[in-house]
Amino acid sequence: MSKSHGSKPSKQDVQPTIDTPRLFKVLSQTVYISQVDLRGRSFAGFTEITVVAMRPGLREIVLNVGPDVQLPRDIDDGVPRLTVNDVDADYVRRDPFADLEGGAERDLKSFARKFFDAASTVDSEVAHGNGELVVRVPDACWGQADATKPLKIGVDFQVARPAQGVHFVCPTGRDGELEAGAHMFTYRSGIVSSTRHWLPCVDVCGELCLWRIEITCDVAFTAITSGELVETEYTPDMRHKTYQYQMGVPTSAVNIGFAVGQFDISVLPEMCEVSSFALPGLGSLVKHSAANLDRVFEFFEELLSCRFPFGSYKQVFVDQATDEVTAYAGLTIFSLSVLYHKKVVDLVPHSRTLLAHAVAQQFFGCFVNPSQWLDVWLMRSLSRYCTGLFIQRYFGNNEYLYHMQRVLSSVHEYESAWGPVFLRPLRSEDRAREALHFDPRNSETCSPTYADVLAKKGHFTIRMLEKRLGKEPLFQVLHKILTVSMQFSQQRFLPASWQQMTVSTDSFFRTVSNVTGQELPTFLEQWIYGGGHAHFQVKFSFNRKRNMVELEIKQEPSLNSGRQKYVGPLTVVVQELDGSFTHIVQIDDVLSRHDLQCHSKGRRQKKKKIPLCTGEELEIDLTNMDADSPVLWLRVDPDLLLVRKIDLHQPVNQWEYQLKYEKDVLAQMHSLETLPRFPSPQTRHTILDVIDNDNIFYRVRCQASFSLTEIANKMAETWMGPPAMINIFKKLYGSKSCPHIPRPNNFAITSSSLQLYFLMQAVPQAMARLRNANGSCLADVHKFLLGLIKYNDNSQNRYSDDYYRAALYTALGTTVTQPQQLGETALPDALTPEMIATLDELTLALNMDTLRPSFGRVVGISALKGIYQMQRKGHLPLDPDVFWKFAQPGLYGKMRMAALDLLVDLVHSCRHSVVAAVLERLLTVVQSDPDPGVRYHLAKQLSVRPPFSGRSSADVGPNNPASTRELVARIWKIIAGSRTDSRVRGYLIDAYRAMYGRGTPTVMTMGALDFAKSRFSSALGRPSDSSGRASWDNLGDDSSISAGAVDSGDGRRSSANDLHLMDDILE
Amino acid sequence: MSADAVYSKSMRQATAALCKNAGFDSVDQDTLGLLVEMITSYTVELAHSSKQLAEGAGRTAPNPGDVILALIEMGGNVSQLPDYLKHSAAGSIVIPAPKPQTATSTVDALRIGKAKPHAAHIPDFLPPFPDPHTYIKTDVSGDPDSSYQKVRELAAAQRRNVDNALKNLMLSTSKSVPLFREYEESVRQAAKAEIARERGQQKTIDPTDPALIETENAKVRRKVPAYCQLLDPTTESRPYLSALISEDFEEEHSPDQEQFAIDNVYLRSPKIPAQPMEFD
Repeated sequence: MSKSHGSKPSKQDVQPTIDTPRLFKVLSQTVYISQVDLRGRSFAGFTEITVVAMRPGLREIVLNVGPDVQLPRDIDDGVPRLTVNDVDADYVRRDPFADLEGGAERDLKSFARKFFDAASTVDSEVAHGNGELVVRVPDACWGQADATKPLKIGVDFQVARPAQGVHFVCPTGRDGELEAGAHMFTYRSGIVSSTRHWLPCVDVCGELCLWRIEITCDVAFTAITSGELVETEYTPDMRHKTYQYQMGVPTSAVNIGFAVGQFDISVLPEMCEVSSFALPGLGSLVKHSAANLDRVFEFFEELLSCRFPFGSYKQVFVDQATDEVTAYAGLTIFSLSVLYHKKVVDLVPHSRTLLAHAVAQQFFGCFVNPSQWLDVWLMRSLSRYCTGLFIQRYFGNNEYLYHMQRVLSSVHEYESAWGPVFLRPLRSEDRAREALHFDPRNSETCSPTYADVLAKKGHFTIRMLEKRLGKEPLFQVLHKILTVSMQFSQQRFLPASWQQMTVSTDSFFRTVSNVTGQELPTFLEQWIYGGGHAHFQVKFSFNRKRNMVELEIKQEPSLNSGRQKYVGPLTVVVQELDGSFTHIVQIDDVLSRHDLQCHSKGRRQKKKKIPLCTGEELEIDLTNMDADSPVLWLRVDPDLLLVRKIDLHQPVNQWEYQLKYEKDVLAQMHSLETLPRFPSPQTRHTILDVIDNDNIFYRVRCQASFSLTEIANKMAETWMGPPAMINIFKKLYGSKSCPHIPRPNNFAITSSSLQLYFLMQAVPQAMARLRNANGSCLADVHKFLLGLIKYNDNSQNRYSDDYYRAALYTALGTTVTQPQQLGETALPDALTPEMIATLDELTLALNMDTLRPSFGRVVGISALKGIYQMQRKGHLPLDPDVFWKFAQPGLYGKMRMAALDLLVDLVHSCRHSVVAAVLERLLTVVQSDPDPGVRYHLAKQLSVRPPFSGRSSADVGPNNPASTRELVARIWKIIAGSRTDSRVRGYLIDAYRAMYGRGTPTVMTMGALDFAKSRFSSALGRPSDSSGRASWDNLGDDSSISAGAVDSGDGRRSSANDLHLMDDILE
Repeated sequence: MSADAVYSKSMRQATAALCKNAGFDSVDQDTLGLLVEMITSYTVELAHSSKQLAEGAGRTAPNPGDVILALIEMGGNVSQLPDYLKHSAAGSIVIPAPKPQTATSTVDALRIGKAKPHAAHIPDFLPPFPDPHTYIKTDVSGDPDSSYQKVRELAAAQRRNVDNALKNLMLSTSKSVPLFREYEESVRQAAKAEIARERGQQKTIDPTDPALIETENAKVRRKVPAYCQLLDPTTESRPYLSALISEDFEEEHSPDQEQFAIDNVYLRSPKIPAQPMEFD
């Protein structure tokens, strides 16, 4: 390793340095940005990258640059140059994805390989560093290069109308004049970085250097970027300002971003280093939303016992952002949707969590860097883990557990649908991609959804690590990592030591063993380097003679369903009459049997209280118990120590006891999920008690109302009289003299009031799912809901009721079911009186929302969904144009996305002939919508709810109007296009996989004759399973894609789906 | 027709007849008007003096003597009068006496209830009492329904009415999205045809005429219920403003004094570059 880096005294270079295979090291980069033209969507720049060769003989310097950056040869005006040490240098550009199209096979199996190879040719992480821009070192500089002296590469560049990486938002009035609130900002179109799309650089996480950034913009604008603002200066003509920033902490190009625009600044009074930037008109919202940020800082600094690593922190809130949070070093770009108004209570937990998550990412991800893409999961997981602790601290342990459970279920849902997720796939190993249709070993080729699940699984795994090591030792590890980084970040003149600020999976676990003295080989093998989750099917019975619980645990490992074969310890907790007893059983095979000794001998001789695992003692009514068994209930892995899914079989009375008396919210939730399998008056009564019990966690109560619905639907024939939930609602929220009229809203920020508030949103939605024996909605419920909407009175309330109203309209939309007899739907007169009432409410709500928008347009969105339901169920003529109206640019982003979601769902679930045209238009939006956030959202929705699923051959078959060769060609063209936005490509590859599998699509392989024939045969109702079936590899009997699927078939959506209060916090 | 108009019409006819007798074939409008005025004022003057003479003689109504005396006083040559009458009577034009108009009974349109009869001491010719409700006091009989339920129902209904009125107004004046597209198309075609028929006289119908669209909308509305239409969503250049800051959320502005005390680099004013001094 060279010891002569640039100009610094390097005598004391005693730190061991990691030998990088790269040929050169970047020392610093200076960026000048000027001529920012928001309307023309362009800016000009000049950058100077100082590099030093690692060994003599450097003749080429390879950099990353995206296709939209114009280099000197593409620029017409001026005398643009690309120089090395001020000598003009020759350069070559590469377009890695120019030739992805391939032959006629159009199969993902060969595409994945090809794509990975192409991406590797520009990947700075591999071998000696690849890239799109090769700069030839001129002969005159060879001496410098061979002496490993610094080389300065200066590049003039221009960015005009970039397709990704930078977004310009220019509100223009009718006359084309630029209005207030114009701005531009960078975003990540790739999973890790897209800095290369606006700046030539070495675009990898592990390459740290010092930065100096100068941005010249109009005097009306503010320029914000990573680093410390040193000075602001007018240009001589006084029409522009230059912002000079300096980044003294070594930072990778990945974490450099900027924003320019007309922003109003607000400064946190308690912490003047924290500045928030708001678009004109939104200043008060930003101020309110950021008001608690000082506590967030305090929390993390205390938690990690490390001060905030950057000199200042800037938050910019921009319109049309692609993600809610985009973290750069010392700078976070937020979406406007994060902002909340002080009258809106619903968004507060979510927004505060996001603000905290952004700060956590400053520590892990921006300050401490992953050393390469394969280690990115670790930083993302650590920041999520810390955010999780923030949730625990500020929103309570129950919320935290609930959140972890959500993370866990999204992981095993993804894995069972798509294949195992490997936290740290080994580059040399092919195992990671065997089951997948893409290669996760490169950030460019990895699916964005996979990357998201990767971070979730990592988050969960870090928590497992915490449980193994203990919280204190884990934080010693984190503290150690931060201190090391802190120490080396100050060594500005020791570039070789900056490597210490990066952390790889290996080095992290080395630190773990150094600090804690523990080696974790099996943990690493199972969860870090291995993929998949454990799946246990647990049965047990009590043997009275032996006084033992005989436990049987079965696993069915398979690669395609993402299930691994788990070997190791498993915790089983048995709640007996005499107390709660923990057993640890060793799983050694796919089928294992265990005997657990019971402790309760004589039972029920004398009445006494039953001790729980919390140490509490309770009177429990034991009349429902099996007289022979002392087991009240049994739990497997209660502390979430494994990435697992558990199917536990236990008798209904035990589930009921678990629901009633177990204090753990996850146990209660588990019971609630299982109990609907046992519909009986007894379970009904138990669940009713839960809804009514205000000592129970509110999310459990909300969930209970949905479980109650399920049970009631199964018992529809036996139940007479008004639904129990109406009575509960009347009791909790009705006014005294006339219970059917709810009391005027009066929300308050107290825990009991908030719990009631969230329950008030959940119960109407749950009761709207009630169905009678014919499968239609109960007339009582319909009438009651209309009453709730009519009598809702918010005039005396301090807070807005927009979300509550939205919940009511969602509920009303859910009541819509298939009509009993299908009549003429093209005429308004054909509607039944109930449907007229429903439609009247929905259109009134939507129209009023157009005239007087609700916060975030939530009411309008709910009403639009209701109208969609009415179309789908055949009460209104199917008309996609209604939703296209609400999807047009110029409307609020969330409204557009909601309308597009409905169209995606239409294509997904409907087989009407209009869907082909709708799908065509959706793909156009994916390709060319002005708002990148909308493009990504739509592409993602298409992958989650594909137009048709390749897994059922009848659906993909030619009887589907949407499945055409043109469609294959169209999607393939986007996937294989060289300029395609990388996230759009990633999502569409997922969608393609869901539609056609990994082989060649059926429609492509079938001859014209076959095509017609199978169309005919399918019309006759025979399976059209002909030649195409052979090309389906990898299609096990695994379940259909269930990630967030909305089952709109019978109107009972998966309960948590459109309940915004149950939204995933960290998504 | 008012009495004045009737008299002036007769006066005009009489004057015209006089002109005819005098041998004119036609008369100018203005001239006729002037003549009418003059004759009218002459006649009025004559009547006045006749009345004064009669009253001077202690009578209440004038007799022919008074009239003749008045004529003489006004300088008329009374002796020529018989000749004139005799001359003009032959072949004279007959002016029909104005038809007695049937007295249109003036109805008290807004009378409510029966007016109170006059008390004994009030003469009958005085005007009747005004509507009883304007002055009569009655005791409240039966409690108005002010139960909680009623109040809430009324409040809800009122809110709903306001919203509906606004919605309907907006629907009739601006573009809308139909939920029953085909049905509404056919209704709209029919409405257009109907309007075209009604306005058949007018040669050109401007399809962009707002009044036309409004009538068309109104006709469509009669057939298609309002709940089958959605307002066309309005696109804005900054849609997030209306979505995030609702008009219901009135902002209370508190002046930020502490802003000035904060030391933040972004709040400092930019440096002005040193300008090279130039003299010419």
